[in-house]
Parts: sequence; C-alpha cells; structure tokens
Amino acid sequence: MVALLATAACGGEPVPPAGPVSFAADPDQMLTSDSGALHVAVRFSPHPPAVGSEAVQLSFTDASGASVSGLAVSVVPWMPAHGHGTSVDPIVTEMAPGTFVATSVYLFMPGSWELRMTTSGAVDDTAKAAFEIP
Amino acid sequence: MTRRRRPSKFRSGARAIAPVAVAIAVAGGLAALPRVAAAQSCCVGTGLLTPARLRTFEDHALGMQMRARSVMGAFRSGGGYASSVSGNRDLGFEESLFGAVRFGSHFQVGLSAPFLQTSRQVAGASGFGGGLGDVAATARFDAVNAGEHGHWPGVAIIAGLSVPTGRPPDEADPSDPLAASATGSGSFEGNLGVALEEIIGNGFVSMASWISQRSARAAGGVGQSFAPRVTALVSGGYTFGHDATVGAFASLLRQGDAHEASGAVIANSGVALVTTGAALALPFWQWWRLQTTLFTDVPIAGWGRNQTVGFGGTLAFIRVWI
Repeated sequence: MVALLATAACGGEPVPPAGPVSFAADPDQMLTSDSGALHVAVRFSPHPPAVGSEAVQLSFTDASGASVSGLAVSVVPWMPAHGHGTSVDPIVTEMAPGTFVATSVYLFMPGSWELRMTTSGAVDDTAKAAFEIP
Repeated sequence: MTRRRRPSKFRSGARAIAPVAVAIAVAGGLAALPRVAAAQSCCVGTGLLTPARLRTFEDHALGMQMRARSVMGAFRSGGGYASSVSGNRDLGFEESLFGAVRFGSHFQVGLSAPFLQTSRQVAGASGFGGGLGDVAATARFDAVNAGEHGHWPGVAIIAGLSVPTGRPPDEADPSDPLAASATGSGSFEGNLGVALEEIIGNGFVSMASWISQRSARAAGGVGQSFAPRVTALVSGGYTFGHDATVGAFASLLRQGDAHEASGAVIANSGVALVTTGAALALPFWQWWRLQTTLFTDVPIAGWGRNQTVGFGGTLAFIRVWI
C-alpha cells in the first residue's frame, strides 16, 4: 500500500516516430486563421488521428494561395471539455517555407482535441484545428 | 435515526473521474450500515453519497476507499459513442483516505485525500504513474432529518470544495507522454446542492442534485473557463436481516460549453454522462463498515458527451466513533 500511495511516475520516454513521417496529399482540414490572414492545411499522421503519438503537418498560405515564409509556429494540444493540455511540448520543425511538421503530439486519451496554433514573425496570428479521436 | 448525505466531488480532465466519484460515493453510502442499525432502513442510507457521512449518533469516522476503473470507450462531442481501440489500455486506481466530524445534531464536515494511479498503453507507448490527487472538503446541513416529520422527506443542504493539490495532465513529467502521472484537474471546484430522502418500510429512496463550478485555468498559453455543471442522482436500497443491504443508483451530469479566455464559446465542449451501479453493504465487528459496488457508465449514443466511458468497482472500510 505504501508503494501505491507514494507518488510514482514511470512513463516511457517520448519516442519519436520510427522512420520518416508521411502525410496524405489531401488535407484533413482547411482552416482560416483568426485574423483571416492565413489559410492552414492540416494533415495528420497517422491518419485519421488516433490515441498515441501523432505528427501534424501545417501548411500556411496567404489569400492568394502562396506559401507564407518567415513564420514561426508553436502548437499546443488541448482538450477543451476537460481544460488541459499534454505533458510533452510538441516539436515544430519548418520543412519548407510555410510548411511545418509538429511531432511528439501525444494525444493520450480518446475524445475531442484541439491543436492550437500561434504564428509570429511574418504574421502574428492564431488558429485552431478541432478533431476527435476514438 | 436518520440518513445523511454529502455531495461527492467531481473532477474533470484527463481522468474524467466525475462518474466514478458518484459511483464510489454511492457505494460507500449504501454500505454504511453498522451492526447497530439492525436492518432499519432509516440507517442504511447513511453516507449515501460518501462513505464518511455520519449518522445522527456518530461523532466522527475515518476510512479508506479503493477504486478501480477501466475505460472501454468514449463519447464524442456530438454524443456518438466509440469503443476503445483494441490493444489500448486505460486503467485508473484510487485510494482515498477520509474522515468526518459532527458539530451538533444537524451539521457535519468531511475531508478526503485521494491517491491516484493510472496505467495507460497505446500503440508504441505505455506509462504508469500517480500521486496525491485533489483534496476535497465537504459539508452537510440536515435541515429536516428523514422520518422526523411523519412522511415528509428529509431535506439537507450539501456543499463541497476541492483544491488543486493534484497534478493536471499538462504538468505531468515530460518523460511521461501519456500523462499517467496526472492526478488532478488543476482547478478549484465548489459545489452546492439539495438532497431529499424518504424512508419506505425497510427501503429508502434518495434524490439529490447539485451544481458545481470549476475555476478557470490556463496552461501552455491556453486559458479557458468552464460552464456550471449540474448533477442529479437517484438511488434506492433495501435492508435485509443481519444488516445486509443492497441498492442501486443512477446519476446524470450535464455541463455546458466552456469559454475561451476572451469569453468566446468553445463549441462542442460540453460534457454529459450517465452512470448506473449496484452496491452491497456488509457491516463487520462493532464499529466497522465494509462496502463494495460495481458501476458502469452507460455506453449508449446520445447519453453522453466528451467523456470517457468506463466500468469498475469500489471497496471501502470505515471506522466510526460514537
């Protein structure tokens, strides 16, 4: 019982996806940023998103459809129904101008999630992708 | 002798334990039948919502309750139900230490300290962790004790407050990507409600409803507030010879959509769940209570929103003093 009552944490270290991450050609979601200045194509891998580690590709374009360069992007996974995020901060890497991949997105429980995006640099803006996982 | 009851504390968040808290509490209450009750239905319901609820002639009590719950699926925001993916595991355990003290014939307070453990496994990752959860205080004022005024039901005001002594998922150790070491909601939460109780021969029926409000919270640059949550609970039971008691319950909770820090509504973030269960109570020795229950959330589409669905059981031991 003492062992049970004592604080314990023995979760496995975050493990990056094995091998290169691939995304479908068609986006899972097309979003418009809160200011309307950016359009965001969101692609999940695995697709559709599932409980566990997820990678998310975010492609930012302007009103003309051109990729937006000079952006810095951060993302926060969030469960609005429960009011919490995740224990691991996702790693966001720019793969090409305007295209970013967030890894270590740990969706640790089923339900409704949001991926809250914040951009800075060329455009200061926010956007939100909502999705559900079984 | 009258039955008394306090509201159970609800938490939201990764563990989504609100329905479990109800189940635990009901189990505890139905089992709160000491030998001196001697098959009187007026005493069976004592502590209907928490094991630590004191009967009229009890001064204080201490106890421990153990709970286990396994997640079998989840409700989507629109009310659809989906079973868990085969091979995934989400098990929750809890050991709560609690105590209660009476002040006068109509007022009592309680305090509980839960210790939680979670075991999760998904494709490519697993984790186990735990620790102290959100400590909660409760209070109950029996304005009218059941049975005091003929067939009029007992009426009580119930209240509670939990403090975020646990660790919310976004504050779990980064080496724990599945947040198995999360043990709390990260918010204060208060609740206030009314409980009615009626005695019918050796049986009893209880109805309670309370409203809960969770404090706003922010993490990772995201802030939000929560809508009030309304919970209703109906339960009943029957006392047989030798103080053995059986009972059943159903609870319903509803919470509206949350709000952004800006005040904007977060669409489809409301919560709902229905939980049912049955309990068996067996007193032992002079001043001890043993109580156990089985419970399950109802996995029917449209009966829930944004909640995991699980099943499990509880086992509690309580020592009371007169």
